[in-house]
Amino acid sequence: MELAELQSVWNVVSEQTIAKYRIDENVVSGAIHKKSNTEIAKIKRALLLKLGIGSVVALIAFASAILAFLAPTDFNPLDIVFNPTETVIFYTSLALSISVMLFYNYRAFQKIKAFQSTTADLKSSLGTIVKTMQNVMTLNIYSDTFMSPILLTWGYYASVYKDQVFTWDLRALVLLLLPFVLGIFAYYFQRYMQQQKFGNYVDRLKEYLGELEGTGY
Amino acid sequence: MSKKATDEQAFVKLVTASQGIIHKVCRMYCDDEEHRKDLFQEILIQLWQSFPSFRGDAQFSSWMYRVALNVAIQDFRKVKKRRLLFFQTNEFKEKAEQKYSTVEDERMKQMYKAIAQLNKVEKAIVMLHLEGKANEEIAEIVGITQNYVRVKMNRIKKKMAEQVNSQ
Repeated sequence: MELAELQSVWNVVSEQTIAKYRIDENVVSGAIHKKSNTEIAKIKRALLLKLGIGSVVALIAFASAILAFLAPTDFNPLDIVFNPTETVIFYTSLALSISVMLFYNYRAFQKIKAFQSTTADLKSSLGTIVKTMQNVMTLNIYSDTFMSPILLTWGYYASVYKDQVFTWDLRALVLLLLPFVLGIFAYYFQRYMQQQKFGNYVDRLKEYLGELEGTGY
Repeated sequence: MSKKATDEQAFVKLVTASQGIIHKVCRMYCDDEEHRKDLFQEILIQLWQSFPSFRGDAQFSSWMYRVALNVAIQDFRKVKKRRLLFFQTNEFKEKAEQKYSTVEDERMKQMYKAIAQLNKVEKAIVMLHLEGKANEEIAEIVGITQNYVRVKMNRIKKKMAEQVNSQ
């Protein structure tokens, strides 16, 4: 089909489409306030939720650490596994690891918030969204890497030293190495998860960007 | 009346008058009615959210094309694939073949077949061309040089001709 012929068919189709789907001002007015479903909008909402819940949990953990420190005899909900000192350290490490997570989440949220690419030309817009998505994926990896190694290390500590006093032996070495080993594992696991979630989307966008930059062929 | 309300009123009037652009973008990119509705809705939302950045130094229609095409290109239909118990993979699908069973006209069918095998970037360029936009304006909307627009158009023509010849 030649372009001239295509043009005449396109004009007919366009007219038919517009006539079929034409809407009035009231419909437009109602539609513009609905919830966006772009990937960016969904990530933004998920980050907001994570920030909200994370902040509450971090505050509770900090408050528990302070209470356990100030009133160890009255406040020790973990007395089955930890002594008062361990409880304070546990809550503090939990609060700090959540704070690290929140820090990276907040940075990712800022990146998403600053994203305004739909009004730019197609190439710039694709460049911006690819960069934003890659940044957000990296920040998500960092934010989700810290929590599990710390919690699992505490779990190991609780199970090994439950009825025994801490001594410098093989168990202590494992305890020292465990967060690093788990951290490396958690990092690669989160990287894999982010790739599963958004990798395909980013790859497609990169493909289009490459095409507009003349590197797609 | 507040400034926001005035802006909204002006925006609604402008978009309603130029809604043809959105319908045409949806026609070009959507493979079914549900997708068309979703994309139309999303373009309207993004137009409204981006409206404060419209400064009037460009034509409103060019600005609308930019926003609408950006949304269409960045929009993928997510298909969730469950692999293992907890791992969910998001696949962002782009249907290769469009179905237009209601379209009887042979030429229209041919047009849709020819367009269906173009990728999203090529669709944007060919659509702007079909809309009668000059290479200069296409280059501005797409963000490439006029020379590259000509190169792309030649490739698209060749691709479409090959598709038609293969039928």
